[in-house]
Amino acid sequence: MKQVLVLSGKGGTGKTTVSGAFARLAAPCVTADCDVDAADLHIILAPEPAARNEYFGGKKASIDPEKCTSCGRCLEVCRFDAVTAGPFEINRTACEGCGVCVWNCPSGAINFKEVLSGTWSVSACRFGTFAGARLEPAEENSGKLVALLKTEAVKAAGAAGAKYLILDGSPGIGCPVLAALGGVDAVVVVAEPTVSGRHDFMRLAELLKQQKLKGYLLVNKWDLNAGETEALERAAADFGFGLLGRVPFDTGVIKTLLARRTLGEDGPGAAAEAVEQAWLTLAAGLEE
Amino acid sequence: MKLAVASGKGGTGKTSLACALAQALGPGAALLDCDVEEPDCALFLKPEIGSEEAFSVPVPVIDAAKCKGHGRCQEVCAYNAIKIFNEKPFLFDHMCHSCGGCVVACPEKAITEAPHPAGKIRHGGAGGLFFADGVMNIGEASPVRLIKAVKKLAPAGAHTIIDCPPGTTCPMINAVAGSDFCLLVSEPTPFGLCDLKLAVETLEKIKVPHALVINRADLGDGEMETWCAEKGIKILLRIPFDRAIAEAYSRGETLLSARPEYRMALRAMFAAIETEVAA
Repeated sequence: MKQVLVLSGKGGTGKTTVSGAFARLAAPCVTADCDVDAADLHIILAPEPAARNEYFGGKKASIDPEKCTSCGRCLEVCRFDAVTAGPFEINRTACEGCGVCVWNCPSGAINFKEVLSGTWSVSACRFGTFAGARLEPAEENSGKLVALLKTEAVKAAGAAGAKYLILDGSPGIGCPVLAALGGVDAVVVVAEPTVSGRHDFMRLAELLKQQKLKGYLLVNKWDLNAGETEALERAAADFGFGLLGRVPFDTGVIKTLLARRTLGEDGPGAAAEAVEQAWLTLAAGLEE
Repeated sequence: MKLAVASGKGGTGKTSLACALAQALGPGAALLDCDVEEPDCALFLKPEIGSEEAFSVPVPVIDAAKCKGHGRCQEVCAYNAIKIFNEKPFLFDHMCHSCGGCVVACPEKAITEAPHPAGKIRHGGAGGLFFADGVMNIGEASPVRLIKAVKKLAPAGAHTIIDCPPGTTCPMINAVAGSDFCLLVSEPTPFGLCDLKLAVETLEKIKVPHALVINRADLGDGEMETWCAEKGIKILLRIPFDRAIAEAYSRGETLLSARPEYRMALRAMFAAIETEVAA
């Protein structure tokens, strides 16, 4: 089984659109939405409803006002600015669950409980199996949820004997991205030909180099700036990336999305054809 | 006033709008780029950087001579960053959240802390604007501390625009927290709406008032408008898709260089937000 992770660095370059198309082209396969902060892939893959499993991302501290003697030790030891004085309280969203206040409290007034941070499920979709999760808004530890979801997706792929596991990743280069990288065979970076797109691509390419992962570049909306497209491709080649081609700007992509379909599913189009070609190039690369 | 520009979904035009807003406000205003994983505002505002400082976070250093292998550090670490093997502690730096718990807990006082480089903070000026950003080191897991540090640079009394990271979890929350108002930027597609709902839920939880700017307003459907009307979320500006804006953006130019006529609309929008915050 080959794991293909779709990333971008910069947000909104077309990761989810490309992941959805790859899911269709690789079918039957397992697809997982590893962008648990802002999960959207389910919109176009429409997985069958399934029982949702609870995800507990960690513990949060809270002060029992009955037991609190207002000594202020919690405020002193908290490094996350999560404690406010008078009366002493813990800001739930600022609390990082380190527990330092809990065992430092001389009167045992701080509770430390697992909190429900999100849910996840694995179910059938029209291209095989879909694994998705939802982090509750304002919750944290998305990296841990991504790792859990990936483990479940790998299990599902093993059980189904799937040839491909397609992973839709998060923007950025922080914890949810790092959690998605483990064990992947190829990372497809979807980038836009803009100065910021190239800047963010370079940061992500540097990360992949650090992690010794094979990268592939797919330029989206390439015709918005042909010079930047060439600059991106040169930069990618310098990093040893494979080139998957260029996707033109095509408003048909939005029509497909509004119809809740994957690219290419509702008929041919310039962008759909370019993404299909990219998949064929990638699949051939993975065979080598 | 501190105004955060956030979105939920990435790539909806946060950076572009944040930079254009700062430019529209003009000299004396400030822009803080808190999207430290992918800081791009500098590419558009082209600031003169007057100061660049290394940013580090404390991580434990264990004095092997003093350690007696009690394992209290392993016990208190909520992040599995310290493990004891054969009565010797091993540190996994990348798991550490710098909470300092192990330092306090060690009965032998064998643990101290040393700075671990996590990024840099830059500040300077751009055409009379105060500019600051944070650049997270590649390979670091958490941008939160760097975001908090960049926010501390907000000049007192100045109108400050904060460009936030995408998503709705810790990086976004820490960038938005403490702002007087949050301007959400989205696009009227199913993806845009799904993430907008999450962003609104998050802002409701952390109690930051908010309104919406719809970008590429004509490339999508009417569901976002309908939802906003039901929720009572004000739409302050609609920017239609315009190839001239997209091409200017691709060259590293802001909305205002492609379409200077937006200057007045942005100033009016800012003034309307100020009035709402003051009310």
